[in-house]
Amino acid sequence: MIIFYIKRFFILVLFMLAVFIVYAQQPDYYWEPKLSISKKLNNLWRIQGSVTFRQIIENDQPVILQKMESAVSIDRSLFNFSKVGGGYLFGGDDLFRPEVENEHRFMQQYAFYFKFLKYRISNRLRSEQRIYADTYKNRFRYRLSIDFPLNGEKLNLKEAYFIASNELLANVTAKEHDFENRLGAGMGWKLEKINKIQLQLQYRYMKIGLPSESHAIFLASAFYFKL
Amino acid sequence: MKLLAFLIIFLIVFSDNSIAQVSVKNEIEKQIDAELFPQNALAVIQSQLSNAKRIKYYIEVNNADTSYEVKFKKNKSLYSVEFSREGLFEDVEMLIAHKEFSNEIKSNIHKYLNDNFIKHKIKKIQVQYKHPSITLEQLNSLFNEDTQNFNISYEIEIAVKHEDGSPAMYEFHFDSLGQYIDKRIFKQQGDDNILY
Repeated sequence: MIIFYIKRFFILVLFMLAVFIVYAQQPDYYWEPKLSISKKLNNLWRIQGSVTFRQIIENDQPVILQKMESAVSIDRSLFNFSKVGGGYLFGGDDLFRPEVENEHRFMQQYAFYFKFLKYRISNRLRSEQRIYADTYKNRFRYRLSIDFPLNGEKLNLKEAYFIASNELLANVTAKEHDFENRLGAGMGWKLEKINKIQLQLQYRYMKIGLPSESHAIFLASAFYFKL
Repeated sequence: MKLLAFLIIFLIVFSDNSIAQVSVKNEIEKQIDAELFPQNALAVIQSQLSNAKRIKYYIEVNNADTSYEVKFKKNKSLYSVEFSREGLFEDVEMLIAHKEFSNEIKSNIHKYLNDNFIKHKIKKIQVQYKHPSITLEQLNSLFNEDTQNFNISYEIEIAVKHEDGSPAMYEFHFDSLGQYIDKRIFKQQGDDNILY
């Protein structure tokens, strides 16, 4: 019965993604490559660092580097597939326009997952404090994702997996608040040396509740290394 | 650059001492077509597959051992029948619920777990039926719930918390009375992509 609902969930996710892509009005297109490196320190602790580049893709225009983020996080394993952690992120907005503000972000998160046969269902709750030169924002996020190997019940080397996720984000400031939804689906491969490569198509519906609401489609590519 | 320098220093200072001296479950499982499954093994199990659902064939490599496994659903139960590299019967595993244990078995298993770990949570239970030299009739009788010719044991996946607070996931084996036999630690699937 659970498999029945999981299959229906996938179909729904893919359908929603297709509908959003077709009907979203004048979405912006981005390519967001990410490099992540993690190191297990002992049975409890792990450290992770990442660099993300956001590039806007426009017709007849060269690809423009719009944003670069570098982050470092640490997490602690808890009982029964759950983890708690936190980190710091530096975001450099539009490197070619120095007048745009940089961001200092502090993050705290709790994640837990459970498995049923080959399906892994994950939940991530995160709070963020985003500090700019002249403003401060809180952001709260919840992401539900499911991933499973495409060959057999366990993900082995050189095998592919499918991943789908949906994340709800709430931006809260003293003056206003807005919401965002990120729906994505994609595939990844477990490789010997670099551990994991993942490609995900993501639809972002942003600033929901504000006059400036917008849509964007991201091609997110990620390289996950383990030391 | 400061961030990068901090990261590098942190990684150098801390060393990985996570590999405990416990047997590791290092199993590679690949789904294969029925044509690649040993034909003598197929002949043994064929009669049970005629009215089964979700039939899938696998090859398993566990350290130096290779085996073949067919998994299917029959009479609302999930079965896994394992054969050796030569296609000889090894065991039948059936997924069961915790409530299906007798009170004695349940009590013995939980006593062992309570004595050895701070916390535990049972994630998956399979009852294992083994027979040194099975006949086709005996195997068929097993699927009619006649288990008297078989050696019974339990393979249980359990999430635990050690005394030092570290969590782990083990595959335990308990005998037919719920007495501990052995355990192997699971290598966890990477979760970088779901955490970050």
